[in-house]
Amino acid sequence: MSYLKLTFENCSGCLGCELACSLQHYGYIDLFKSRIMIIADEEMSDIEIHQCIQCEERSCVSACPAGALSINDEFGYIMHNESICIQCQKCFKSCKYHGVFWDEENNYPLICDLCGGDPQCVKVCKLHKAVQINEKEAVR
Amino acid sequence: MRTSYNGRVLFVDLSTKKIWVQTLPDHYLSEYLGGRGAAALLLWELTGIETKPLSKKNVLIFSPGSLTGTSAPISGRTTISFKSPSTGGYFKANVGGYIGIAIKHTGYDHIVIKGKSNKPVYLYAGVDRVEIRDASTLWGENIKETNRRIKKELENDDLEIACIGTAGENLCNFASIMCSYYNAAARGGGGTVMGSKNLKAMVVNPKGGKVYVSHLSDFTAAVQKGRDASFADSHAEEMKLWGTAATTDQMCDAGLLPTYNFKRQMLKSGAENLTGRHLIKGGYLKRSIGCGSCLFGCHRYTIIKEGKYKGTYSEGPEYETFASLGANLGITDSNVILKANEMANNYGLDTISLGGTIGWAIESFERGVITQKDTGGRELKWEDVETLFFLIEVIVKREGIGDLLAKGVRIASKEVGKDSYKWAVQARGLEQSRVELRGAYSYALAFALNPRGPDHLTTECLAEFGEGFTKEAPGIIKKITGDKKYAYPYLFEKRAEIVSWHEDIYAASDALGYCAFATTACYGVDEDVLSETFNTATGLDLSPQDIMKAGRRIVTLERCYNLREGWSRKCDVLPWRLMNEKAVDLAPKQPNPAIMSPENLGRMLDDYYKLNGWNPKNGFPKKETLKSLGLGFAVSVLEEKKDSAMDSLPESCQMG
Repeated sequence: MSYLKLTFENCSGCLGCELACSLQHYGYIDLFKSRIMIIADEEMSDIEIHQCIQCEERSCVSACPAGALSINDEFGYIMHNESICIQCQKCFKSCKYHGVFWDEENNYPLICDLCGGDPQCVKVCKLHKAVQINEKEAVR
Repeated sequence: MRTSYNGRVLFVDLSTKKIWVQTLPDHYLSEYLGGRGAAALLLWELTGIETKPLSKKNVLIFSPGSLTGTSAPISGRTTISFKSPSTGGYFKANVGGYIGIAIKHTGYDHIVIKGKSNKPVYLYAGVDRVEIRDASTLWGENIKETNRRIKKELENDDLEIACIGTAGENLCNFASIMCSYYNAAARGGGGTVMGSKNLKAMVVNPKGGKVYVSHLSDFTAAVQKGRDASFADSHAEEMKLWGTAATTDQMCDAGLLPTYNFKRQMLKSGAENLTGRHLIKGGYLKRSIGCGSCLFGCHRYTIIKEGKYKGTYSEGPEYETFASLGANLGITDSNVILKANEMANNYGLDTISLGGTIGWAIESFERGVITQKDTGGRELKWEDVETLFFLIEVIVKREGIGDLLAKGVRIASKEVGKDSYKWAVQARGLEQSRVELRGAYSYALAFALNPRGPDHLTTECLAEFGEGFTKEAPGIIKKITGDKKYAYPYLFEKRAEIVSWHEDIYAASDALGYCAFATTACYGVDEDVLSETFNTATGLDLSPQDIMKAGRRIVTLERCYNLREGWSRKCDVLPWRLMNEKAVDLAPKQPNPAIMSPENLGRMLDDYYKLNGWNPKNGFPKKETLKSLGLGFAVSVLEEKKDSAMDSLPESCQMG
């Protein structure tokens, strides 16, 4: 089960999660370097939240020819080893849940690491509850 | 050190097609806090008394807040500054959406547009490239289509766009600049200025850019403090659930809802249709939307799913739109108001001025000042859908009576004459927003002082309603005045203190990019939070008192701008109707007769001038006041004006 619960219909499209995510991982903000992406239609009528959901299949791990992706034992998130990544984008292309993004500047995948167990995106979304910690998972 | 504000200004001259970048000196941030504050100083320097609002010499300054683009909560707003064609004075319009975040990603803190193009163009601003592009084929399109076509032309859905519709092209005096589709920098005719420059749109590409903060871990802690304080405010949940039209029906019951062009203060029935609850109950609410980095999400995106207006879709209606295009005209059919709101948003019209202008036209018709000869045989009536839609269309197209009304209420009433200024609910050229000032004395004082004209967007004084507003409100009033007993809207005492505090924090909020709802509707983000977040993002060290003093500096500079234009204490007035006619529908404890007479207003103004070191005789800040705020550069300019200012009135302040 996913560590985070995403509820699309609750999302206000504020991008606060993206801003917080980028800052947490890079120390600066770049909307295109977030590991959570708010995808809205042109008039903000329909919104989807794209993020790694720690799926059962783990197709990104299987797709990686270099063995650069592994699974965190405690929280189940994907860990990326930059030193052996061959930047082939197979992980990015294999994810049917649109949970893997590509950092075009550094040429690496962007995959949610739950901020090591303290996800910043959740802290932004306390009122709208579009991104929450999945209660069942949190008590694990 | 990399910080969230670097004083980088992108200058674009549409006349010469020159594009250049300039870095501002440090005091634009340390004394004016960036954003609205820095823009006020830029406007002071770049324009003057000789600048005609619709001439090529006027400028448009787009200024995200100094914290916009960071993860500071509720900080995604942008100020657009210009000399207003409505008022002839200083103007800042403020807008949400996502354009501010995008501008900050490009590496610019302000974008200043000067000159006038000889043909329609749009500006493209990206990280690596800025260019002026042809917009000939976009001219004549409205907001939705303009957005779609630019994104298609540039093959990029990540663009953020500020544009005008046909109202701006046709120089309708209250045209808005629409950002991120439906976020309106509505008031004062910013869209008119844009139209006068033949500038159809400003297109911002955030890709490849970065926004920094100076002290990462301390900034993160300050941000969390701001979030916690905002979530803890009792009004936050209401903002999310019901938006800005949370209490329209309660305002009606309390005799505080302006109706029928401010002749009445309540509706006989149907006020519940003009609420956020009704948007849910009626199945209209598609989604609650938050501007960039907002925690609340007070915007309503609404759709009509069936019936005559099926397919209508836009942002809103906000409270002001429900009240202006609904209650003010006696209309309570939510379908009609949603349709009119969609039209205004798509044409790029300020709904407050639009409703005020239509209300004036209907009353003028009722009184025989405008006749069927003027309207092409049409009757203009209250509670009439056809009147509403007809007038919106002719105003945008400037056809027939619409050409007169497109000039706004002040000019229209001057041209028509026959005492029609008495029901032209405007002051200083701006149509008043829908607040019943005869039942809210802080608001009355604030509206009289507002350099934009009589509206709520330099000062929200909701706390004066005390527990009638929120449980926190009395505490705010106690903090400002020393006693929570002043949390009562029918008192003259301490209104100066209440207004000044709200003006200062509002100006600071705009400068930093915070939504005023974070500091003066929800009161969670206070001067302590502003200071801590500002310092950790910019690397400066301003105390909470410094932040508030900077707010006062901004307010005073904006005042000086208008004094330079020939304004004075004589301009610190409210619309004639509110100062000379009694309110009819009163709240239970409201003093009777309910009137905001010149004497009553004057008493509060005297208090305010005294409190802030202004001369009560002419409303000019004293020399020592200016110097103590670091505004010594304005002293000589004001010295020239102060003796003669009370002898005349600038055109926009003339009634009748």
